[in-house]
Amino acid sequence: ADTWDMPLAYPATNYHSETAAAFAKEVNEKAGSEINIVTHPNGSLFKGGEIFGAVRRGLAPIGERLMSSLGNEDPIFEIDAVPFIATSFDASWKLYQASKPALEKVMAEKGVKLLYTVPWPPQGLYTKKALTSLDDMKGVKFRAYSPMTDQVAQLMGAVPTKIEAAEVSQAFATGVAESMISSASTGYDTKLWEYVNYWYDVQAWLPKNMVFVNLKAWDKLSPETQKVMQEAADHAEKAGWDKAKELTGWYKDQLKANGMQTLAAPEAVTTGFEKIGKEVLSDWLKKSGSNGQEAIDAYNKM
Amino acid sequence: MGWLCRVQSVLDGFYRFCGALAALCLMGMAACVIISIIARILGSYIGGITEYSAYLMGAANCLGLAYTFRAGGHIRVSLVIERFGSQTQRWIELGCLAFGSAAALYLAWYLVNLSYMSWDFGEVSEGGDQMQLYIPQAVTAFGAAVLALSVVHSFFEHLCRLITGRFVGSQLTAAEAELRAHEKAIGG
Amino acid sequence: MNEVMLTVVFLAALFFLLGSSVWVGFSLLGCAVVGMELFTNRPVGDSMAMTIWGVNSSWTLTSLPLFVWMGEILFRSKLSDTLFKGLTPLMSRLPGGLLHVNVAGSAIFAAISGSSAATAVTVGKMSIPELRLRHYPEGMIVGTLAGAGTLGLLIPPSITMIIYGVTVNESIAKLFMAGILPGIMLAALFMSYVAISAWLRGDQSNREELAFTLKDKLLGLYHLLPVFALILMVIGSIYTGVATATESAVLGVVGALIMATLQGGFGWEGFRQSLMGAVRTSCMIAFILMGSSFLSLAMGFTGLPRNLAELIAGMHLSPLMLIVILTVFYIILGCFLDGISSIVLTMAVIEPLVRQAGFDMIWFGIYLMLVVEMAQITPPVGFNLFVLQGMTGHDMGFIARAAFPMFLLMVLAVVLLVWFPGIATFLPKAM
Ligand code: NA
Ligand code: NA
Repeated sequence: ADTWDMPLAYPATNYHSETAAAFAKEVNEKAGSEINIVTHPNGSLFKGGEIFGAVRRGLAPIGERLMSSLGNEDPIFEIDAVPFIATSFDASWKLYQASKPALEKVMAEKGVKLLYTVPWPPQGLYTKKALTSLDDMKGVKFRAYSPMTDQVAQLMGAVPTKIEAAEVSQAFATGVAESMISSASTGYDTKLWEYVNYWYDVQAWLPKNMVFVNLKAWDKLSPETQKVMQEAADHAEKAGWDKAKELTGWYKDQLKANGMQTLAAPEAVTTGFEKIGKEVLSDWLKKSGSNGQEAIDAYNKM
Repeated sequence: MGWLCRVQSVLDGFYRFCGALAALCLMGMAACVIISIIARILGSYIGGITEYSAYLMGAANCLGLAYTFRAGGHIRVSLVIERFGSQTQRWIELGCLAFGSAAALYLAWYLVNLSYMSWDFGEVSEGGDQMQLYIPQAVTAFGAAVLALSVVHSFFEHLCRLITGRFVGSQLTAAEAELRAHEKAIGG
Repeated sequence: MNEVMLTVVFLAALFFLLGSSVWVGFSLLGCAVVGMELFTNRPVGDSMAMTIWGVNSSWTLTSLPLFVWMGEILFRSKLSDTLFKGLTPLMSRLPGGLLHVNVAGSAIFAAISGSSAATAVTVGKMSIPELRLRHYPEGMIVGTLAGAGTLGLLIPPSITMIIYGVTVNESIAKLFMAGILPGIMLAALFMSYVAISAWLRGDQSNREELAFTLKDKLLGLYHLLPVFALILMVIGSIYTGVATATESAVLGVVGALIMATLQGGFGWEGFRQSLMGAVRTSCMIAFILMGSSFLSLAMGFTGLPRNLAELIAGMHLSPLMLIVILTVFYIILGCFLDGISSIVLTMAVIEPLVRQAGFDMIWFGIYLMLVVEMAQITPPVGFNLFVLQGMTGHDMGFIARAAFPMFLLMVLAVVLLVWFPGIATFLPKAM
């Protein structure tokens, strides 16, 4: 059997990696002797930032990457990180379906084929103090890690500060950062309750990981194996979305159990964020051109 | 043989020049880190500054490879070959340089290919710098190519000495090269 | 069977190349190419280029050349001279004398830097010439430095600990807390060894043959001020939130430059030399890092570390036996891979195994740091050995032999940690 190495960026126990492992298992069992997918979690083969390039070059035939981190390659990848346009799992699924044709087109141009996506839990706002409106964010040191989060910080009047993922908990421990927008799972993984008291469930956006294959490698597969893999991908997508929904509540409970206040956003905060969202969206639409406009139009019609 | 000496000294000057470029990159990297600290204190965001400091580190690492190689700065284990006579050692040294040349050419070739493919794909950095990745990768590839040049250069230099039997000055054996590197490191 | 074959091929290729005195970077590269060509069907050269680019554009590694530069500045300034002048009256009566500086200096520097190589380079740059000047036994100078340099991993901040914490989902703050006591314990073990061996050698510790008065000692403390100010500046910048741990290295460079200039004797020429020295040392380290990251990729593709870990998982061992076998496993792995690679390549299999056996994951993290620390000083691939070879010119064999007692002390530290788990778990629980 041909070995298909599958680099993954996140630890083996993360549900994204577990979903990928289940996907690999299903393919290996059903595809008979043609291929054998081996997952390499935790960036043990290629690091997160290298995986997309590695799959394009055929260094690995299949891999997984956080979709929005490829926003510089094409703005369409960033569609699930535009804040406050799809703020629930249902809305996020619709946005995914609406953007899928454009995504598939752009990826085919880059020589890869989209297999499936799995979302991260919705993004909330971590703060040290309670909020009544977005005015309370003025002057707060806010973790930015992408042009879009930088823009959100500036529109809030917060002070954006660049912190890499590896240094998040240390940055909060030493006061380099005081606030950020991230999912409950990040807070759980980095034990953020040691430094921050509030998590507002604003559901700013739901970023997704995507699994993709090198087109040349895909074309070499027999039609039967392609079918098996596509079916396994559909199963993985369904299981992954369900798992994300299930874990969202669990992560929130964990934050609460560790003494963090997990609150719904006050009305004034929500309206403030909606205004910010419109501004970011109009900038993004200028960048993304017809691909973006068509996806958003299709989403609005759903 | 006068022209050969001139070529040699031009080449050695070129490695030193690349070493100086590496030093500039190191300073540039330090400057980037200082700027990012100051930006944080002043409360402003500079997208891409961490990426720039990383590129400068990569440039410094690769541009200095040849200079370090010719200065005897790269590490090797001479434990086993010290047991042989000096003539045998010289032949082993030739083998090492031949292997090193092949490896360095291999490295340079594929780093060039990496940069070429990034250019072909139009690959862009994921960070706020939005850098076309082939640019910093080309610098890395250039450093590796200069390293390959310096190893091949050392190979022919050693071969000439082996044939003419004239071992003068530097780089007699691995052990002696090591000692020189050590003196350099300690003596400044 | 396949595992045996793989192991033999990797071992043979590496030993042959290193043994023929091929440069370490090229040896690692060659070994990786052989392993990947023989046992995988992936494009070798392009994978190598991708990984090497990854190492050369990794932001978390930027602190390494900066700390190297800081060491080069300190070594060329009067700062290291005054440091030793200051320490001499204070430590002259201690058996082992100024050799303790290697250990104490490394422990203090470990609190600034997250990397073991940076710790060994920076402290070594300052201490080796001064200790040689005072005729301390060469083996002890090199050995203590090799061993104590590894404290960079155990005493926070530590890059390796962050990687482990992220991998197994444990609090990095707690891991950092947990590393403090074992770090101090290991430093104490090293210092006891320095003292005992000096005493056994019948060594007159007071090489200066001088009796120091209280005034000398106070003056000594005064001489220590600049270096302590520098350390305080770097640590302070991290804990007051001015800079992140990675950025703080640059403050070390700036501070060292300012102090070297203020003390005089460090002009343009000193600056130029320190910079070129930093280029040579960091290129040397980077070249080995490139090779070892590629070897790690090749091993990842072949699946060797993971399969070996699975072999252990299949043995169904008792908790104590598991720790014994894991220690042996990581020591063997550590002969070829650096600590971070060992952890990343095996944790997917080892983590569930360890959780099932009921170990506290914070405790296990500290245990793991100790075990992969050993990898830094075991031949043939040991980063601290390479770094020290670059600095002292001694052969690997000499350095590895000199470091061997330190290796044994680390094994002792592991035994103590297993016996008294509280050494690691006490602080994070009290937090
Ligand atoms: Na440290
Ligand atoms: Na080792």
